Amino acid sequence: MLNGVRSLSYRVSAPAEHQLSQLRIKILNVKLPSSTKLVDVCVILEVDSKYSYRTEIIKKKHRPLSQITSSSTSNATMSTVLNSTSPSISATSNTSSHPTVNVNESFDVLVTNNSKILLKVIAPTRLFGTNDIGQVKFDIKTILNEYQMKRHTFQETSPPSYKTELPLENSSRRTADHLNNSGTSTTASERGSIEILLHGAILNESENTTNNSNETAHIENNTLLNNTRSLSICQQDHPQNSLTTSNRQLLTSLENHSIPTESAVLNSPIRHPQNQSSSADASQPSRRSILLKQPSARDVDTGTASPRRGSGSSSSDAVSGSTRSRRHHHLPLSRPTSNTPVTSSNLPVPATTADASSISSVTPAQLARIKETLPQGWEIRLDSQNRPYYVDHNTRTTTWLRENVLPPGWERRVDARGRVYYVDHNTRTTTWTPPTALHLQNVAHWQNQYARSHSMFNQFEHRFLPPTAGTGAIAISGSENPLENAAPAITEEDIPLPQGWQQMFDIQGRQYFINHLSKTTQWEDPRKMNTGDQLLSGWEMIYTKEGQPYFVDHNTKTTTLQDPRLSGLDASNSRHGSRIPLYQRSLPFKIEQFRYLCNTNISSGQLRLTIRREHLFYDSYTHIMHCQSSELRRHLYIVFKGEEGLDYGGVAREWFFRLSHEVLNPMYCLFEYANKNNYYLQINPASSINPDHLSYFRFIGRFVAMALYHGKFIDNGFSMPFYKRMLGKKLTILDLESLDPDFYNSLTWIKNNNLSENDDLELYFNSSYELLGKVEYEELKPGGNEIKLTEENKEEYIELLTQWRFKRSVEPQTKAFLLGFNEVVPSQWIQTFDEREIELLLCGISKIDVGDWERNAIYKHFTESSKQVQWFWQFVREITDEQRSRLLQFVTGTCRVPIGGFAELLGSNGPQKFCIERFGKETMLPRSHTCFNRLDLPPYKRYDQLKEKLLYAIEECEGFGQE
Amino acid sequence: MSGGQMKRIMIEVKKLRDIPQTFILEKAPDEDSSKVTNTRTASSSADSTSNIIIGRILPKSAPYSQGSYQVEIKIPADFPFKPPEVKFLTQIYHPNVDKEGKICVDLLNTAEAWKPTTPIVDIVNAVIKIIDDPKIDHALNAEIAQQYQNNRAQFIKTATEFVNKYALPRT
Repeated sequence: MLNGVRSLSYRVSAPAEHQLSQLRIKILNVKLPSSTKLVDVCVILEVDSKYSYRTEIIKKKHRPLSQITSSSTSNATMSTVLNSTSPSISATSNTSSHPTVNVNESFDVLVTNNSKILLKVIAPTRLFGTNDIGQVKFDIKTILNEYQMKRHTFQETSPPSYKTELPLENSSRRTADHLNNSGTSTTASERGSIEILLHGAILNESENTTNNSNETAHIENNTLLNNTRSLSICQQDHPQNSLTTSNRQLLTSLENHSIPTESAVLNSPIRHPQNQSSSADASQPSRRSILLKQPSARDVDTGTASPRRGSGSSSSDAVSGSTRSRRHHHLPLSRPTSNTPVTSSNLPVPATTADASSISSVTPAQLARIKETLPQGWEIRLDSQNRPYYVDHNTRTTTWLRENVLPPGWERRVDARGRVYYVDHNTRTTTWTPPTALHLQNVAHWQNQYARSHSMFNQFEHRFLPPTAGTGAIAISGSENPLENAAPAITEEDIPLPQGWQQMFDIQGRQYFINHLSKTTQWEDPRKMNTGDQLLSGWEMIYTKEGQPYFVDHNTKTTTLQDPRLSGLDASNSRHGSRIPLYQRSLPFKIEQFRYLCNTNISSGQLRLTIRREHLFYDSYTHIMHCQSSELRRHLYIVFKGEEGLDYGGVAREWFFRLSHEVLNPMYCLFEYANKNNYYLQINPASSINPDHLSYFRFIGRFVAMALYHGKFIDNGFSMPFYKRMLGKKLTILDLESLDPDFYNSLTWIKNNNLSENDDLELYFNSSYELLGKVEYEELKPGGNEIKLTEENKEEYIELLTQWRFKRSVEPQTKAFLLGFNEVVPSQWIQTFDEREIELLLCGISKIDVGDWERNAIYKHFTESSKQVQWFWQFVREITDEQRSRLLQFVTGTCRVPIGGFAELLGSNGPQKFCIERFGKETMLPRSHTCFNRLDLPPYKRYDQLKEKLLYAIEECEGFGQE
Repeated sequence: MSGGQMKRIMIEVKKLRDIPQTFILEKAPDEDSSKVTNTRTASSSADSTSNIIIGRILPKSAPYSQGSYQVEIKIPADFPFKPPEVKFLTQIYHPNVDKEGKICVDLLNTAEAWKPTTPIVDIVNAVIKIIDDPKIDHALNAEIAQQYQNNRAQFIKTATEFVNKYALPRT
């Protein structure tokens, strides 16, 4: 492979004014304000206030800046970097007083010439909050101008990288005072600064445009300079050219690093053979006019390399004092599979084969045309006999034939470190190996293998929410304005605000409410939010002096006497004469209202979470707990590490699915199945064995609230009692049935039987249970050990025991969960929902396979051919998806179907198929036993009777569930 | 465990002593321990094994009537809200008893049948009834159930062998 050397050239696309260009921004270090203690910092980079990037949290252990400077100057520079020191900051004189944190993290961002970049330095505190240290905002344009100016000033061979130091500004007064005792009149040095390094073709934009005439197939690249001898080497454009001495030295030095890249390439133009001097100091200002061709940042930077790597082989003789400008050396990168250190300067011409002889020479016109169609990183060249061949700079190979077009759905990409990888959009996978027929076959095979486990996610992906009415649904014309003199609104209430809420007035005197826990604001009075029917946002109900309510639509500035909550309904519903089901009247409205609250409290910016798939739980936990709660309401941008750039919008959805699957997995002992054989989850009392469990529950609370907030679904659902608790609803003895049927039956027996006739129960106002091999017991009320259960006090006993049963051993966990939840979504926002609606919101509705359902149903005192059974399935087919989910929820307690379909439906005692039992008289309503997946269906005489009763049962669910 | 629960267990144990024709009580929770565990500190270290009743049942039908069989009645912490668990300690060849000694008693396994007032004596009697009158429909050991139905002679032969080998004396 090393039988020839070619000069390197790059295809160039000159960035236009609005063209996106890749820019690498490397954050080198942060000098904290002089009055600030050294802290852990995190740098957030925002491009055009839209795309946000965030470094890891950089621990404060640091090296003083002086050391850094010396180490970087003592090392031979791999590439000269222009240095700009802001006049107000004399970098050398002030460094000692600044606590400095080395960051050394790079981001590849896409910018235009008009982009604005915001760099923000924050210090995460121990309590999961952050302190703002400062920020700096700059325009790409300004930077480019600055860069061009400096270049001309120094007359230096400019590699397309630019190092600059920017003074930080305190982002807010409060933090300024907090962090900086000197108050507002701080000098730049007191405020601290941030040093960054920019790379990218955009820096050369102006030059490219001025030198267009020079563009040929052979383009020089001088990005790189040698690290030991600062060589500048010229190579002739001749395949048979052997390595020059200096080139060998270069290779040797590169081999020492064993991490060569394209950037480590020296190419002098063929037209300047006089530059072939191994002693030339690259950093020396050179008069030659060199065309810089730097197509993308990947060719330049070091990625994660630390300065130490370069210093090992440096002899520090070359550079010191050679120029006053500070240098930054570019370190070579590691190649993914570099068994042969090859620079692209030695790309061989392909061996001449029989094929090759058939390749005729091409005309310049043909050449130009071919060039345009080449993929990125490819180049066409001519050998000595003027035969064209192709160079793939991505893989550093040459071929006579153009690379085959990738299979459909495939794309070639280059990662931040210049490595080529392939994206298969069909499977959303990436691979290092180019897709070949064999590879595709393997993928197909793997897909089959994976299909079963994947079907889960697919099923999940098909979940949806009931459609909301949409604002158009309630178009009420307020043509006649019934009441000119608006009666005083009744807004004052004597009830105190819920904890954490505060009433405020804006400048115009309008009242609004702040939730201090979640840091959200709203117009709605949180005390009035838990009524079942809510007016849409913008609507207000006002009473006349006579006490008649009327409605004001602030959106359209109209009023109406008609209740807008009733008018959005399908008229056919009212024609049936039956009561309009509560949920139909309100669920879409409730969702809309909830969405409104979410949208008005969205935080600006982006929450970017980079998650390693193999550390899904840990990474998510760390990131989410380090965020302030308001940050969790930002636009989500989830990246699975190593899959950067693959944003299908479904990444967040997948993250919610996978993470919910993980955190709610009973294997982690945080949650358990509410019932031996059920799939509703509840908090595991034994979770207290994990010392960090409360923190985890807070995290899960945040996460679940995020799912609600961002309108994403989680995979597993909780038990109905758990949802009720989330909603702050009182749990009753009926809720016990799904949690603990034995306990429920025993308690019900006590409730229904006269205890005077059963005096040997020997029950007292206390209770015990076993946890982790230990028996714990508690009094239900003070002195309960001495109070015997009697017929007279049994109501109180049942009440106390029920509450105790729900709380036992999980109260601190539940509170931690709710704390985390309410940090993101205040509990008042969801109080309009009932527990079933919350489940629908969180888990979504799946399409239910009615055929599968019917095939796996069993009947008691009915047969398959019974009229009622026939009608029942007719009914199931007629209703909407949402109603089907509700029906399923009514009978089985959850709207979810097991992965294996209805055949795997579980009851409280193991597999339990969906069962319809004949029961009662036709005047009765159907009832359900969620533990046994059983529907008690009275023998109705007519279809419409069955339909009406069933609809009533599933829609008026509240308090109706069991009896 | 609470003091009330221990009182209840003592009542149950007393009743068990009253049926020597069907059950020989061997081990019962010590009432003295209830006094110790009545305090909060001791309860945390209370051993759940202290709530185990062990005794021998005396079936009446052949071939089991030739011996007695040790059973363990484990009383859960939330008794009487949860039913006790019953397990055979003596090996017995029977369609309703599996190799681990587990037995399926309607009274205990169907949530709807258990009441907080159900006496443990009733449980013992239910166990004896199943041994005397196997319920093939609810067999735990399908092989034995099949043999019981299709080859009764062979079943009795094997069952008798087990009785001779493992069963305990009836006194």
